[in-house]
Amino acid sequence: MKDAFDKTLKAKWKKNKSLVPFVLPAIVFGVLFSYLPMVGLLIAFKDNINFIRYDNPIQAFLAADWTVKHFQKIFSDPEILKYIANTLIISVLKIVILFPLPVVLAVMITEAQNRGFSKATQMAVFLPHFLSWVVITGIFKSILALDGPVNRLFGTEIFWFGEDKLFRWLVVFMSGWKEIGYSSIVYVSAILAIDPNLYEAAKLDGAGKFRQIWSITIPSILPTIITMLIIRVGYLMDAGFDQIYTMISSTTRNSGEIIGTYVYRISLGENAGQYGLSTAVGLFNGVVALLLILITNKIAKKATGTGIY
Amino acid sequence: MEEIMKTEEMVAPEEPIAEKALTPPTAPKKTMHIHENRVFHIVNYILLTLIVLLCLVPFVNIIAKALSTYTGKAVFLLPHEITWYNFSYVFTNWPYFRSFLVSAGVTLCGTALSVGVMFAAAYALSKQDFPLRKGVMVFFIIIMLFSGGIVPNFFVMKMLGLLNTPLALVFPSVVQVYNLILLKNYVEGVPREIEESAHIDGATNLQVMVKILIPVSLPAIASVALFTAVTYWNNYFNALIYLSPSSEQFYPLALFINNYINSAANELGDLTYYHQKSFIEMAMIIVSIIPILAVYPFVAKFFVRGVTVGSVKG
Repeated sequence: MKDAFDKTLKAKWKKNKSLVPFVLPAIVFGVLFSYLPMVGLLIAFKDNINFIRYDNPIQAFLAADWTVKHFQKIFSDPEILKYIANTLIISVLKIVILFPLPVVLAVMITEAQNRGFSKATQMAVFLPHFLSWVVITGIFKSILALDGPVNRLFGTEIFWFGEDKLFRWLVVFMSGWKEIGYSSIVYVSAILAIDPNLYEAAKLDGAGKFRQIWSITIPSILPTIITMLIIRVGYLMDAGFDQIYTMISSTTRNSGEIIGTYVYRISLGENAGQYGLSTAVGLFNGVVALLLILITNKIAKKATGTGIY
Repeated sequence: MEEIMKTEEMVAPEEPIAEKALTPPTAPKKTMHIHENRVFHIVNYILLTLIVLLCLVPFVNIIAKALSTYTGKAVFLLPHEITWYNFSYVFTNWPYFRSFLVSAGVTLCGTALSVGVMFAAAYALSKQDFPLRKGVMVFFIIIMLFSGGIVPNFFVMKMLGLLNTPLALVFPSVVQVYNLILLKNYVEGVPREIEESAHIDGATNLQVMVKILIPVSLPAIASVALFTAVTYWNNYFNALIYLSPSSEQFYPLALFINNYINSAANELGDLTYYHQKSFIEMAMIIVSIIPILAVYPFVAKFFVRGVTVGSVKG
């Protein structure tokens, strides 16, 4: 059995070895910039690693003592626990509030029978997705400035980006503004794939628009909705570094700091230098995220026969 | 609207069939539905228009600001006392222009390198009997699902001597696993016969890839390239962790703008500049999104396909 396997492998190798150079560059980039850093996760188990005294990172790594104290700290330090909670709260808010909206938008877009109008609408609502968070936050900081148009229009004096209580809602709103349009694409194509005869039959039965949407459109795209929801839940640990880094300030850290921004702040950012702890928190986050993705993908495959990989 | 009315009228004569339905509609109900449908469409068009406005008004607002002179009043949709001061400041600001060039260079090189490397890998992996094909795919999928994180990445870059170089903005984003899967699926869909006949004629793998597969796969390559380009153009994270303030000459545009927005102008310095700074920020943002707007119509053409191609094959 094993011989036969070896033989087929050898035959395959002989036939296709000339193709190996084609994958090699991708593998080299993968090893250097993805797998080597994974080995570097061992920094999470090192105490007082001194990268300044030793110019060579490997020497610094070898000189430091082994420890598990960073992981003990994750589960006992109220500050870190708060940032983990922030991550989960912001993620859950994003899912609960934002997840249904692309479905609604997709139904609305596909119900607009004027093709030109429908196309123009799609062009407009997809656009924000393609802009950097730096740009989006820049625009909103300006619109929501103390002397900006929103405050003037409503006669208020709210410091939108500086209020700790408002911060999470602002994060959810801006995330929705950027992504709802783009997220609707997948539902738009699912709706366009529905057999038009179903609607004709419903019309003959005298079903109104809402009835048609509720009884035909939604059930038809339900597998897509479930798959997307499960995949979305898999990314629960990712509350959006790119977004929050551009929005956060010291006054909003209490409710806005997430694991990602904390890991950056204590390693290379404002409070740089705590490499071991930062790596440990990042590793903890990465492992939980990986488990979530693997579990949710399994569920998605079981439920609907599709997954992301 | 007229079209909708017509279809409803055309349906009307077939009333008897409708009676077989679970809840047979009566005649008055039918007219009610026509009425309901008309209201539905009107409301739908109004709501969609409002959503489009919600998306576009912020852009109109920043354009108005970028053209405004500071008067102490809030700018809404029209500029106050139109001026080119803000744009001319941006166009004559060397660090801004330098960052623009860095972003353009990083985007062009990064996209060419990434798409080239991903397509070559996709070509090899599209062969069903490529040795260890499954294992190599797992190798890439792990990259998609798990990463070393900020500190390990930083020290690997340090070891490789890439810190504070523009290469640090290019290399970490070369492997785009999602693009690899997309391209692999596309190449797998190309009929084998074309390739095989070329091989019989003595063509090498490289010749087959360059002369046959690349031209055939151009739609997929173009869409992947556009998405990769947008990713590179918008990326500020790599610069944030791999470039120190001492090498700000390599800052990409996104990071430059972010830092500029977060910096405060000195009230004791140039008073015009002090007043205009928040409007200059808007001019900087507008100039930075022009390249994206330039390719956006092409991206828009592709992205529906991109999403569906990716989700068809699990």
